[in-house]
Amino acid sequence: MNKMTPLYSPEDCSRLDRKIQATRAVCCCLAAAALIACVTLCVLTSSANAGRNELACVAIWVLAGWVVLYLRRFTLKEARDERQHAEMLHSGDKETVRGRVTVTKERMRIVNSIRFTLVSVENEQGTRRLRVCSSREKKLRAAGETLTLYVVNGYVAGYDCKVKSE
Amino acid sequence: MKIIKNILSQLHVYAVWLILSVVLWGFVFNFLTDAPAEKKLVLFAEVSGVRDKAFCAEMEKSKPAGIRMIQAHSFDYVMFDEQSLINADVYIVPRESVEAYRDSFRALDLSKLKAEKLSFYENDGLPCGIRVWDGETGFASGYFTYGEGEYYLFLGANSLHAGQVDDAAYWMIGEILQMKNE
Repeated sequence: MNKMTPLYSPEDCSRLDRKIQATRAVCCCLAAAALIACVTLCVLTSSANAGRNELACVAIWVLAGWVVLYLRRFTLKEARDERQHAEMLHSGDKETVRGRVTVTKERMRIVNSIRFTLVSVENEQGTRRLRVCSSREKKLRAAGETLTLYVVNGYVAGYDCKVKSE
Repeated sequence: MKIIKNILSQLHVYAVWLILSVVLWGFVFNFLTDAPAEKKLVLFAEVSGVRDKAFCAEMEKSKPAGIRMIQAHSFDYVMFDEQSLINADVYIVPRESVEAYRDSFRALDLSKLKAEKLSFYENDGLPCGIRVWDGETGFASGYFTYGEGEYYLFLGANSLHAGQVDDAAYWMIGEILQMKNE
């Protein structure tokens, strides 16, 4: 009996969810901390230290903004895209492809999104090129050479794991 | 390495954020730190340079009770806040500009000043301005970059600190007159 081993297990999905939530929380805390620091500096401003405090406010705001922009643009977006990709793999219609699987070193990045590694599957019908999310590449490599892959829209969703029937 | 690569790929976004932050905080900071007119002393000087921070810091050392903020601006500041210029407490203007701003000044009450050996600008026979720079020497020259010619110090017609709320404008004039030949 064959059973699919998904590339994204429920634990992987909940880990991605936690990463998304944690990144959002860090962004919110950082923005709130920067705002509180700037308002505090405004309250403590006198004619004598006005210039210095204004500069400090701008510096705090700019740095906090840069960190938040970075986290949103890269860490959060990548985690969100990967989560959506996992969701698509879970819910999409799967086809099976069996053959000798080679995980190549070729990589591609969907513009402003996650990276994929190209996988080639050789069988009697020829060679088929598929894609696997680069973060799942190791898992697929470790699964062996001759596999049955479960594919959704050209993306590898899982591979088979042989379970002895009684 | 990856972080640097990511940052470089979005450099324009960080540059835009930097510019926006500087502009935004310029306004927000002034808005949040501004004090109401009755708690603020404002000086405008039509000179080529004002060391505003140093001047304000010096004034802060002995500011009267009730005054929360002291501001000093050159006339260029009017591009940001015209109302502030109109309601200023003290002005320093060159002799040749006095006629143009004549209605913005009020007569001085000399009893509130230690007026010794001072030269005045008179308007309708009343002392209105005090000469603070004669072209070579004067008062507070460490804080104001005077040009050639004479400069006079005036009390603002709309000042709340010339008797209406308190006499803090006279206090400021007195402090400036103590900064002889700095």
